[in-house]
Amino acid sequence: MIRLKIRKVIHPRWTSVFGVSVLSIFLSFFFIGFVFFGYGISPITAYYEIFIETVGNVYGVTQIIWQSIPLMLCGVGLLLAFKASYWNIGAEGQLLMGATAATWVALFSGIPDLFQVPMIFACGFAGGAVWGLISTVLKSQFRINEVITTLMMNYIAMNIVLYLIHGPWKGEEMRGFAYTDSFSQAASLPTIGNSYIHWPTLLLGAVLIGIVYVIVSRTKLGYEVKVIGQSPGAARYAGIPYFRTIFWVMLISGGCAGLAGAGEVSGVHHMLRHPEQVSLGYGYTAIIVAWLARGNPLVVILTSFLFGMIYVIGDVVQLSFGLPFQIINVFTGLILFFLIASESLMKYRISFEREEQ
Amino acid sequence: MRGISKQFPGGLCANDHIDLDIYPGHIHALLGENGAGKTTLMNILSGMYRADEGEFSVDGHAAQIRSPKEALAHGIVMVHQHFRLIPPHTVAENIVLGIGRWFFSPVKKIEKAIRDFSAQYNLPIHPSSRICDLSVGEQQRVEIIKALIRGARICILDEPTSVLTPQETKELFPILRKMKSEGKAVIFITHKLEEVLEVADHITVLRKGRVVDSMPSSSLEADREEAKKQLACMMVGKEVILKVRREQVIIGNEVIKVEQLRVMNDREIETVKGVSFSVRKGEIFGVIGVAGNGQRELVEALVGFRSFSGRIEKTSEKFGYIPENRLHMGTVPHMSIAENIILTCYRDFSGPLFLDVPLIEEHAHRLISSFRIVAPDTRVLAGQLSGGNIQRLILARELSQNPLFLIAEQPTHGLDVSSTEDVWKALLDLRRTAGILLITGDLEEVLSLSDRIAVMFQGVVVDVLDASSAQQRVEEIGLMMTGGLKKFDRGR
Amino acid sequence: MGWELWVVETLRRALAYGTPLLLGTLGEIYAERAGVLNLGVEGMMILGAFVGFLTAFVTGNPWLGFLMGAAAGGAASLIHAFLSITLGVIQVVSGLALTLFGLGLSGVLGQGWEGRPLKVSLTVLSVPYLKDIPIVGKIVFTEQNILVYVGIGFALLLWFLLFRTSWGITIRSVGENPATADALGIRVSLIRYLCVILGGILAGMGGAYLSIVYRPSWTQGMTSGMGWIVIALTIFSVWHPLAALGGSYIFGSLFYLSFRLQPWLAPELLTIMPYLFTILAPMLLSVHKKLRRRMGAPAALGIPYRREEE
Repeated sequence: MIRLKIRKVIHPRWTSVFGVSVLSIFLSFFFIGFVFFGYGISPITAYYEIFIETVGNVYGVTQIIWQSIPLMLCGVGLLLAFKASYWNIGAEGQLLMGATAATWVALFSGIPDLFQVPMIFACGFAGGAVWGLISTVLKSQFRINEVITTLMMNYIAMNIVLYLIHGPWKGEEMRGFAYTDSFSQAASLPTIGNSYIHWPTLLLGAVLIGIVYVIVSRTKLGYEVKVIGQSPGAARYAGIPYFRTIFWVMLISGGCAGLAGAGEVSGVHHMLRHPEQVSLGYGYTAIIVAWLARGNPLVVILTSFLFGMIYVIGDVVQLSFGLPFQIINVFTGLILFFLIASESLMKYRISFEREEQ
Repeated sequence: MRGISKQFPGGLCANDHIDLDIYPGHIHALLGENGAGKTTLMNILSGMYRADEGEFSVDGHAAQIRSPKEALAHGIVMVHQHFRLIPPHTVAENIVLGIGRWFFSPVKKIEKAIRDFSAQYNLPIHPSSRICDLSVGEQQRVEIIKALIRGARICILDEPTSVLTPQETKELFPILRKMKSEGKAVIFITHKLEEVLEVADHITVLRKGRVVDSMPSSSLEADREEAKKQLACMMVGKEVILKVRREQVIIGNEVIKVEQLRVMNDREIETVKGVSFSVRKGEIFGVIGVAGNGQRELVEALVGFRSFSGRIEKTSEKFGYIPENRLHMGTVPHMSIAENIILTCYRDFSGPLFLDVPLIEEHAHRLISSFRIVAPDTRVLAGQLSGGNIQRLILARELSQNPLFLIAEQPTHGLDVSSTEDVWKALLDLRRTAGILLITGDLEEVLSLSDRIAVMFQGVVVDVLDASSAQQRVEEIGLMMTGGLKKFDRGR
Repeated sequence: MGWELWVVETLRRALAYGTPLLLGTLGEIYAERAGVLNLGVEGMMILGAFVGFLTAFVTGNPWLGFLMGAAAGGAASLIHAFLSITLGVIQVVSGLALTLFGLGLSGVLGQGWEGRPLKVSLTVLSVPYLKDIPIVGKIVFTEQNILVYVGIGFALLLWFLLFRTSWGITIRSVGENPATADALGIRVSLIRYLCVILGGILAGMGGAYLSIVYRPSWTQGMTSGMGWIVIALTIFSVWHPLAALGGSYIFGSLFYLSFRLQPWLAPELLTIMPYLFTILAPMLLSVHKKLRRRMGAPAALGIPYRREEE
């Protein structure tokens, strides 16, 4: 008699993981095709156009790169947090606070020109780190879940920025949009050619990915993080202090997001403006960037480019076909759906077995 | 039940062709040590597990019991050792759960039924109290009423008195007798001889998955003490074959001293009641007792997971600990062997920041071979190893740190024979350079390994004997473990 | 205005502002009471907002708008239900995905409908005798649009269902201890599905209220984080429908005040109030030990239920 046997697999092979991720992405593209169709656009035309405008020309590629920078930084920070099973949903707010700190350095600190850029990064890191650590304090003292605190802090940060640009830090006003004064040359980051690619931040991103990689694979802290994230019981048994470890995790996680924010205001906008212009939802997209990287910091480079590309697709689709930018959220949502659905299905291996009588 | 057999993955045979007959209006005691298979058997009867082999017949007709619902249809209900109640809800809410009869105000409507049953069986309980506010004894009454209201004809109680105070235990027996007089059949699983003799009409003794004997209680010796000895004998066996040799070792200094230790459990009930002992280098101090008599809290206090009153003096802060829970505490299943092998000593394998990966690898390789861990390489995940190999991994880790003091908690629980032998050998080896506290429920193990044996029952060390006397008095140890004997009779 | 009149007026308006929060919270309370954390409320609300707006615009009937908005929310919630109940994925991620998807989809579908004013309106009425009750009557029963009353009605109904019927006991038990419920023959998955879908329906309705009554128009992202406040409110109201009434209206008054106080205080700082409150509330609650013990989250919240295998 043949019986259907379903076995649980603890650790799927990485090839199947990779394959499933790619499949999820393709499926999402496929479904987006329906959206195009619904707007009367042939999916083939749409994809062709997308291909040309994104990877098919230099401008597109530069667009992808500069959009990936904040994704890379936030993503690697979130990867570390998720490794400790600490659900940091607050990268968006940490990014904004980093941007705010950077703006303060640029416009109000009076630090000599030579030190502007390093201080911008340092304070950006600090701003994001402090913002993220608030949730840790709340968790350790009041046992409040970090999902709620980090999330709410996002909205608080957004409103702080709004307050600043409409109030005490208001610069010139044009067409009803508020923003601060522009940064000086010394406070602005150099870019590659005519593009928006502020390469110092990109470099920092690569460096931080390297640092996180080293931390996770070779350091005591990384080991502690992994044990805490995978087995709180074992962590207790091993004498690993939870909150001391999480402190470092959130310092780095928040700090990375803060760096991203500093990079955006200093390298792209050269001012602090409306939160939704400073961050196009980078903090939230980075959650998926981190998730998709499956715990490997180096893969964050790939996934951040992937989502950078999706952002650019959003632009292309808007300019060429008049579709709203929001389509990228549909895309991202779909990818995530397929990803987590397939992840759970991967846990089981189905086979047919002959049962001995 | 006829020919019931059940094997668990990993090779453990929990039930081996067991036959059991249950009659209405009888109290049937199922007696045995830890791991004898009693709970598994009753889980099968109540539909929670499925037997590999065997059949049921109810009221003379063949029957199938494949789920708790089907068991309920036959009137079989089990009251588990760990109650299936919802703490923030009230008694009435818990009892009425799943009874589909009323839509509106089910709580009010069931209150009458609760009061009726409560009066009939003398189980005083307030329908509107919250479970979390009730004492354990009261919670048990709720479970019993829950079963009775659902029309239970066979009521299975799993170690009902293990969570009760002596007073509450006294109050339980009349309830059981009343149920019996109402024509119900009561099966209760226990390891306590006193209770069996007090209340049971019929006794079945299980040992290592098999029925040793089954008899009406009237057929036992008339004298209580003799009857207990008979039963204890059946439960643990008259002789224990020692498979290992213990060499003579020079006893050294104390490595740990415990004085008047008192520990409370999560329910704020004292489960360790003034325990004192000491362990010296060169000896294995075995604490034998059925699980649930305070051993877990004792270990938690020693390890630092639980607060206590009394004194614990350790010679050195560093000690080894082999926990009972291998998968959720002793190892991280998703991490590799190498990563697990440094779990409790990773600081020794790292500098201020970095882990010394080559050193760890080398260490892992060394331990894999010296402890005979079966694995192709160090990158295998701990969760993929068999139980025996996981334990070898934990042993390797703890022992290689050369502790002066080691706590081994149920170290061979669920292991096959060859792994058990490996564990025993390792512990005896360590004994030369350290003092070991062995906590176990396996009589054979404690007799084979220990230099001194303490019997623990209900939070108290009943007595401490040395190995030579213990060998000859196995039944008495069994009696002490089950509350049948208050102190070792040194006169004999 | 004398300041008493001012307070009364604020509270009265608070009910209208708080109704979408109330509806969303009631729904999420049910989902979480059954043990499923649904972070997709924002996505469900905004889908409900758009579908509701569109229907009302095309048909001219606001009630059809509410109906379709509710349906949209319910349909969206099915995705989360399938992923978290049947497949057992991490509920936090699944909910987030739903939010992103909902925001995106509504933005895509809604393009071209932005800024078009909706010309339907909902009856505003006062309840005949109740409006004469001193103070309370002026606040609750005077000049409110119908949906406010519907909201209050739902709160009472859902409270009754949760605490006075057998369905309620079943739902709450599933969320506290699914293993126990399962052992008693209750179909845990079915109950959870139903509760999540109910959550979606109510969220959709709340969203439709925004686009039909509150600001009769459609704008991308018009929920502006209300879904997240709902999540926080669910905790703040200790998973109790009647407390949700109080909580939603408190937040409603905060929203109203953030408009009214604009001349005096920076609006952005006022907008922070609800979010800050969400963090402060658990802090204050956790101080009171007895409260913490009695009124915690459903014990099995967020944990996918798998029947224990042997």
